Amino acid sequence: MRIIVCIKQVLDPRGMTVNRKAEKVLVNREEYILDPASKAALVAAASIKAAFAASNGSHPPEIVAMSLGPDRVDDALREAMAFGADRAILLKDAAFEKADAFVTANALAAAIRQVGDFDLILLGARSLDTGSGEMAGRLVEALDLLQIAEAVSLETRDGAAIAVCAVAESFVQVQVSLPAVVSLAADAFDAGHPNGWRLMDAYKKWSVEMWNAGELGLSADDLKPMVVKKEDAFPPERQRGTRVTDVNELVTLLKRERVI
Amino acid sequence: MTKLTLQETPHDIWVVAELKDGTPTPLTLELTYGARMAADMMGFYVKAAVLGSGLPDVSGALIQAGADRVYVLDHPALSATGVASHAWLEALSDMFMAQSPEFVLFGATPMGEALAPRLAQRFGGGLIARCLSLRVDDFDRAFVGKRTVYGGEYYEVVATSGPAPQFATVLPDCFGPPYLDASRLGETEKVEVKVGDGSRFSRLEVVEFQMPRPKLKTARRIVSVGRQVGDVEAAKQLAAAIGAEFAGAREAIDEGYIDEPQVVGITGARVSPDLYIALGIRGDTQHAFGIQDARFVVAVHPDPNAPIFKQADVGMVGDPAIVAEELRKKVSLIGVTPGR
Repeated sequence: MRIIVCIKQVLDPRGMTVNRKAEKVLVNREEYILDPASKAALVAAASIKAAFAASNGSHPPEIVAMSLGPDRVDDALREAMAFGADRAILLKDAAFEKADAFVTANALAAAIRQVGDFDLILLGARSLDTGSGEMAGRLVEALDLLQIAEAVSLETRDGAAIAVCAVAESFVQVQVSLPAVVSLAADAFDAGHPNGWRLMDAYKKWSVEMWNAGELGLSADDLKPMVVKKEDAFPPERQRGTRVTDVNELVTLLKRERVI
Repeated sequence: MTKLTLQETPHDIWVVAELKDGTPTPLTLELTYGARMAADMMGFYVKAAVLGSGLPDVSGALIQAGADRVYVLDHPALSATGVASHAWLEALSDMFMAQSPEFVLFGATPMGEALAPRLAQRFGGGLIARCLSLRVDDFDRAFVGKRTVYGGEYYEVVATSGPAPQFATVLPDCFGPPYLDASRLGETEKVEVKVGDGSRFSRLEVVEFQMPRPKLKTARRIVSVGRQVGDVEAAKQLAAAIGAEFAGAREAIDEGYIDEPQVVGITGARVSPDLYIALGIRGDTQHAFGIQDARFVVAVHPDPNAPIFKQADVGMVGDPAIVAEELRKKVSLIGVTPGR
């Protein structure tokens, strides 16, 4: 059995202040972290592996962590290995510099096909930064598989993945026979920190494979981003302790902050 | 699925409608109206797709909101929604293949968010997810949309590009309330739906699983009460009206307003909702700890010197019960965005 976990590295929001008045994002400490939802996916993969070890199977599942990005993503992949991944692949190429979800999905799908022989593809449902939640759907299309979205628990049994996901007011248990794509909700897994010994090994003993666009056999069409970022925009400034005197004003503020 | 390439140059703006209780949802009408505004500028037609099984005639409402043509896809397989929305996907994919849309609008609903990424990938197009605001740029012929970054700390403006179809899922209040013009004329067309036997999807089984969702820690909105709330029923009704969880500070237990699992604070839950409405909570340290991750805090308390006003984004001095009642009435009038 082979589990491929697609992970994302994001800028740590704790090192960042958003100045709405000056309309600037100030990065005080540029540090990148493994996205919480990706962490959830890694924990889910590791728990499947642990369940397998407990049942004394002969071929333990292999976990392959994969990500697309510049050199700094190397850290995220090593952390992924510390979380239990057996192999880590970084898709790095100058052509990926402006990659949007479309290009990323094409590249990941090509890499997943090249790794081959996979049973389960896991990824975070929504990343901390943009959180558009489109990667799972795009991968499902690119690989022509079936999908479970925003799972809060996951196990495998007799060649099927069984997940619980929230639909409207209740939870629904969904079962899909493998291979399949499962995206995991960040808050459902208490990921914590990776094993320290494994983290040291990840840097000292193990290595991250580097693949480029040429090796993946991507065409120019696959590499053309369809979404381009234009600029940052800022919500109206808000100040703690603003007082209002009537409910209409309150509702206007709530609508402006887009909280109701 | 191999990538699909359209036969003709894409044209026109589409809205995928969603119905509730046999009528288009307010969001659907708003999208149709938004599409109308873009279409007037660009010289497009606005086309709406209605999918379902045993559909009532809703084309009237959609045409009033701005649709020129309503495509009705009626098939028993399209009744299933939620996890089993693949029939919608196949039906829409076939229709878009035949009709070559340039711009497609979905509501940022579970259905829209499930379908849009898949269709976008299938047609090799861009997608702007969860737009707060959206327009069609007449020079670039592209969607330009604003979406939140880091859960709403700031926004980013992104643009899609052609020639493939361009997609967007849109949050409510993006285009404003639709202007319904009863004199507008439009056409309705029935589209034949070819849905396979679905055997490809029989590998996907859904087992209903009754369990309440985790409450406070993951709630997007919370209405919370303290000792000074006055009338706790008004607070509960407000919570129900805006789809919020009902909670309280520890002191509210003594009053019998809440139970132990509903406590917010050091000794209770530490919450991180988008909206936290504190009714009659004084705001001691014990409670303040519990709400420090909340994105937007509203406080209502009769005492103008209560510490909660320093912690809140917006404060209002007054009787919490009366404010809650007024807020509920006001909100039921203008409508609320469904929570995430």
